[in-house]
Amino acid sequence: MTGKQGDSAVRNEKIVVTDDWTRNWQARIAIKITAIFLWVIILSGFATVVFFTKDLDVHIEQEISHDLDGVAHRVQSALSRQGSELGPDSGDGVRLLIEEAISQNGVEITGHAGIVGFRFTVAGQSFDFGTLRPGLASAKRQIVTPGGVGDETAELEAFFLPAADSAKQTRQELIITVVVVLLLFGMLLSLTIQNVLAKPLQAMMDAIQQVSNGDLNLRLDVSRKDEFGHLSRFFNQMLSRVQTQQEALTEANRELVSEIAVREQAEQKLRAHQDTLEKVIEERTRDLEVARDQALAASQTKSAFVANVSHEIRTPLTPIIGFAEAMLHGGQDRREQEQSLRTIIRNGRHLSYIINEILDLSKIEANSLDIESIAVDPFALLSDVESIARVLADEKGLGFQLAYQFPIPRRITSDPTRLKQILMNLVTNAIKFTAKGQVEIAVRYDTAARQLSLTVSDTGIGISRDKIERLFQPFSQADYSTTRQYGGTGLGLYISKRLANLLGGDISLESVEGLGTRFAVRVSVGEVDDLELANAVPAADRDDLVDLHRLADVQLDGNVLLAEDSPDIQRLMRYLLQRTGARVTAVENGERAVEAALREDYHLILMDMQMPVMGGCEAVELLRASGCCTPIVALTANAMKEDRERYQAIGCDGFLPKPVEQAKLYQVLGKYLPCRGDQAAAVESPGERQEDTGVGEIVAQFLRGLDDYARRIDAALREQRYADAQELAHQLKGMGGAFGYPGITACAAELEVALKGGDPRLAAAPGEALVALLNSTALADAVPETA
Amino acid sequence: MAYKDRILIVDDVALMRDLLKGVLRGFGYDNVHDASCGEDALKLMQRDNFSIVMLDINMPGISGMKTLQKLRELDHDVFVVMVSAHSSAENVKQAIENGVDGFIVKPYTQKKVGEMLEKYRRRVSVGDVG
Repeated sequence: MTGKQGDSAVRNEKIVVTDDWTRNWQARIAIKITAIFLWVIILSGFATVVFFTKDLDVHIEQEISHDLDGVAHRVQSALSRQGSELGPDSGDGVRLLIEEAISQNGVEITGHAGIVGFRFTVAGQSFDFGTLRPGLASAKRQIVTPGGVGDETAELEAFFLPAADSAKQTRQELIITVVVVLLLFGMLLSLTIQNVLAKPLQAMMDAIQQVSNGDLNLRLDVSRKDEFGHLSRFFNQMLSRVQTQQEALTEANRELVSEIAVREQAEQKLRAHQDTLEKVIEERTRDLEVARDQALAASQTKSAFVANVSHEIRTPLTPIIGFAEAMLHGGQDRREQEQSLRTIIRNGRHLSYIINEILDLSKIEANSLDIESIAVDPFALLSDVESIARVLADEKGLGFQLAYQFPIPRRITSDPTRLKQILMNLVTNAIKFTAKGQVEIAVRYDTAARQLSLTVSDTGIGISRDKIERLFQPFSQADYSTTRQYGGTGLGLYISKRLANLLGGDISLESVEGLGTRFAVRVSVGEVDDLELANAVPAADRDDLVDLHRLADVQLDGNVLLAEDSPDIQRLMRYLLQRTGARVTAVENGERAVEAALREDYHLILMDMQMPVMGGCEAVELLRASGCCTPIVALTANAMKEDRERYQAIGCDGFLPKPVEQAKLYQVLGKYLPCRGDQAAAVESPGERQEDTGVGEIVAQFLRGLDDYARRIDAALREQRYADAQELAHQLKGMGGAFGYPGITACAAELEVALKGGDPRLAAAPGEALVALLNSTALADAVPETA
Repeated sequence: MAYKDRILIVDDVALMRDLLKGVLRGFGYDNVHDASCGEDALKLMQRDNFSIVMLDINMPGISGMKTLQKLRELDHDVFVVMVSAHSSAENVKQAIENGVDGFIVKPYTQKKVGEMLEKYRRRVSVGDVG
């Protein structure tokens, strides 16, 4: 700010020509010029006069002498001509004669220069002419008078001022004249010069003064052709330029000012921004603090959860270890032993359940939960849930009801495992928290929303309103005391809700404390083009369901190779397998499994996938490469879909997740092992005829049915009913080997695979081969039977 | 039913050759030839085409494994089955690395041989389709 003020001060300072400055004559050029001229003129005039009058006195003397001679000569001549003598009476004549001579000679007797007077003396008589006064100088000439007495002589004397005086006088007069003339001339010259030089200079100066005082619009007169004219033009140009620059500068200045204004505005904005920012930062900081507190709280909750989980894990472990040790030490009677075992099993299951939930939770949190989308029979699924729930409800003396509100889709597209998990969670919860009364599952199909609605209601303790919100949150179970009292991890509901979301639905909850709770699950029925609605519970699909009772009744036969490195699991599996009547060979790694499988004939190989020395995958690959076609079922804890696909790709026929569930194990065994007493399924070479009559009849029946199969397959393929053809091939695959015709099994399997591949063209060749094989087998083997 | 496929059995023990021949005949394979050592087998292979080679591992002269290698150099497509009492997984692995199509462990059951022939037939039919 100070700098700016300084600038304007300089700019506004006016150059003032003061009176003192003008009064000082030395400072005025006009006066100077005039003075110089006057001096020069006076001096040069003086010098000239002196120079030219240097020899003036001599000159005057000569002139006087000359004039005197002239006059004298005239006087002589005049006298001679008259010839008369001069007498005293002739005085007037003489006078006249001399005056005439003087005037004829051009001499003026003025009295102040040259000859001022003459004196003619003759015969003692003098005649004066002019004014004669003392002090004058004189010169004489002798004049001879003719006819006179002898040599009578007259004398003419000229009087004149002395030469020096005359010269001096002349000089003074001259000087005065010259100086006066020169002065006049000088004054004139000086005026002219002033006009030419000083005036325009003065005008220019005034102009400059005016300009310097800020008047840039002023222009000088440029009419003059001389340097002043040029100067004026240049000055004007300069002024124009200065004016332009001044204007530009002014403009720039204005811009600058406006820019400064803008800047100031921006600065203001910036400051405002900064304030906002600071406010935002403050807010963020507050948010962060809140988040940090939340994170801390979450961390604390997690810690509490971990503590709870470890407690939950230890809780079932304690009875497992305790009862097992008690049994090991002996001393228990049979009933007590059974009691101990039941406790161990129950707790083991619970432990497994807890671990599964934790795994599910971690997968959900990591968004890596695989959701399948396959055809699901809701009736079969609910029937499974019912069979377990009813047992649990019975144990507690509760009623259980499964109520369908028809119509309900025959099949939906969903993930059966997850759907079942949700329902099981809700149902077991309901049973857990209900002391008396009943638990009900109500099923309904919401046509508009294309959702299956499953409501699980109980008459239990209910949930208080304030706890409902928190119920679906992970790690924040309403009250750990509930967990202590009722068990469970408190994760079930969170997992269930997330699973329901993944299945295209949700879970909602209504509860009245003390009266009961109602959970409503809704799941999408998925992309079903042609939804087949059932109006009654369809007959159970026996093919798909495991009939545990049948398995318990019917003993199995056959050889099973079990590859499992853990001795405990090996023992457990051996026990479970032998219970069905199957013979078990157990090996501890993949190498042993390969060797055994190549050496012996097995109906089934159960292969653990993680084993030392040689893993299950390598063993399966080796076996398949070396031509072994025994069915192999993978045992693994890797339950991921990709893992299953990989196992299938390397040649596994099935898959059993670990820990192995009895029901699933028996389902697998039932699929691959022949039933006891079913001799047709015994390992026999196809070349050998079955001698046993009973078995022979079965085989004969099988063979008689072959041409029918051949016809049906042929027809199905021709009419492009590929699903039917696949089903027939599947049946034959199962029967062929069992009846001692592995060729049929292989051929049928090939057809089945081709049909499953989805490209019917690939099915043509194996189809023909199978039909041919069936026909030839039926012919070759049926003939002796009929014979 | 009878198959036309030419089979070559390579085993130094005559009894073993005869046994396998009998089993193969039981499955309908009559066109069976034999050799008592790897060298003879390779000579036969150079002269005639075979569909299946049943190869013992432990033989005097060049071993079955070596024969397998040389044989693969001659013919990439022939279906080779190792028939050996050396059933260690290491052997199996080596044989597979050398390009064997099947491995039958002695003593074998007819079922094993039958399965191997099924595998061969399957491959032939797939080959036809392809």
